[in-house]
Amino acid sequence: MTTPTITAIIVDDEMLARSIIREYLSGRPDISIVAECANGFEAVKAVAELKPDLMFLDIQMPKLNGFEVIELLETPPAVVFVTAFDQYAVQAFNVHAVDYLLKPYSRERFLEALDHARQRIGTPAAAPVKAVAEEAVSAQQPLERILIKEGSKVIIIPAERIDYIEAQDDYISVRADGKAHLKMQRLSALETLLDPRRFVRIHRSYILNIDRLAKIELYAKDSRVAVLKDATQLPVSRTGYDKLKDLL
Amino acid sequence: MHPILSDRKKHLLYLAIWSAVGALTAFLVSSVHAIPLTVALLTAVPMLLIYGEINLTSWYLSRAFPLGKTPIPVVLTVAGASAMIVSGLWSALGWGMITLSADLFSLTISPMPVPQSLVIIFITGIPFFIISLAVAYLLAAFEQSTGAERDAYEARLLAQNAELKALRMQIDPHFLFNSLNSISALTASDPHMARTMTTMLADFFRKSLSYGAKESIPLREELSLLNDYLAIERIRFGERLSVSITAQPGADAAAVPPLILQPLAENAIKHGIADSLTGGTVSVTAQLKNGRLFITVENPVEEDGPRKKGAGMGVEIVRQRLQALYGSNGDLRTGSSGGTFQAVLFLPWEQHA
Repeated sequence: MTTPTITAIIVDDEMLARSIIREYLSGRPDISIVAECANGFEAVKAVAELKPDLMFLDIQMPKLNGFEVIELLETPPAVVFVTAFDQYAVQAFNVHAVDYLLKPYSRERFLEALDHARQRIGTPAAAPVKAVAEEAVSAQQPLERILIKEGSKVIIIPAERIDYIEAQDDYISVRADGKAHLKMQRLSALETLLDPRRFVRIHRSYILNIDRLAKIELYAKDSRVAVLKDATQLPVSRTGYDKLKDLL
Repeated sequence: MHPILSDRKKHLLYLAIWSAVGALTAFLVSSVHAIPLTVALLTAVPMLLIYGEINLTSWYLSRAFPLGKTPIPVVLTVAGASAMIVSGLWSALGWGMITLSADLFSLTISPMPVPQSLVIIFITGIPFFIISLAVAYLLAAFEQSTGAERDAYEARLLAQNAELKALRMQIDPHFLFNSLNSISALTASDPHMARTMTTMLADFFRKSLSYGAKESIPLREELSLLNDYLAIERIRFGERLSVSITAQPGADAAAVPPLILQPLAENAIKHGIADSLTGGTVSVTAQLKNGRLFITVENPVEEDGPRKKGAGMGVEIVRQRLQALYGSNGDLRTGSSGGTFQAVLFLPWEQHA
């Protein structure tokens, strides 16, 4: 019985750093490199299209860091982090990374990581990483930006540009710069990640950036609406009103 | 704290001196007025001891009217008036004591009329007080100068500490790890380049160690070290990094603290090049203006790039070093506009010896 071939992608913004992985993998017929990516955008696209089993992933990269790449993937492959920084090891562990290679590393150490990956790829509970990736990203609490994937395009919305966020079934709709962006996430999960001094859950279905608030109007007895600077009206629940009062 | 009252030994010594003055006075008085020496001693010594204690107040006076901060006429008026008041009180007290001892020892002090002896005591009292006041002022001036010396010493120590800290933190260890990783990759694909990079790295570290031990180096050497550093990073980043270093003619002879530009270059790489998809140019320019040396480090910035912790730490150290070394004559200013981050440092122009 022959072992099935593992498909792998290499993600690192440095050409030389990618070439060393390629070199260590050469002469291994059981592994095939299906893509090399120089940044997070390319990685997100390549994983969606090629669905590799394994990803060698740098952490500090332009635009999207390694954790953000994982967050954006619907079904992340097994991940081996490859970085010069040792301070992300705990975060890497939290997203169930297979291994964590510190640059520079020996061929022996690399093959060890490869063995770990091979063991992991066979098991069904291979990659429950995505759920916690977002929290790992925001180890730099509070969340500074929201990442949204629309097709193969990645949209980065800085927190200060968000007007409000609305819950829609299993999705959230992030309203920023007059546009709405859908993301599969629960409103309550996002609420805990955002800066509580800026973002308030004013209603079961709404989180508001208080910088956008113009006034609060009494709509009926015990029922209020928040009027935003662009005249948008959002419902405010009683507990939401209490939270707003505390903050203002 | 009173310099004499706060120290028991000094206080006793001080009183001993006044006792001696008292004894001398007693000898004079007994020989002039044919009074038994014991009586003269028993009167003059306590009198002068009391006056000695009174004169200790001059120290408080010197603190209440510090020299430098009080106009001289005021000081003179205060000194004269207080000397007269103190001496007046003392002579009254002294006259009381003399009559008391005359009564006790049944002496008739003649032919000394009352006003005359009062005047003698009063007149001798004045210079005593003035002298003690002068001594108090001298002490204060001395203390102030040692205080100033201590302050200057402390400031120098602080500056040195900042320098040491700066040098210890100078080079980001991740630069070494990433460079070694590049070398590790090159050993297979381009052994010649791997060797070149190894020697570049060794030269860079050797030079920075030797410069770091000096107090100042010519800007020429600082810029060449910076060029070495950026050349190594250029191997790592490839086409994403280009470098431009220019110095106005003559500016490169200026004396600068060693490795003062290193954190700024690291910052430019970390936030300008490593965070950018396309990279850009790190440019360094040195100019002389109005007796000052200005060095500008510029790099492109990505507006929506991931922010990193510890940003500005190196920049803060450069600022602290400049302030410790030059006070208000040296500083670092940073800002970004139109996708370019700029750090401008200035320090007094001085030709390196």
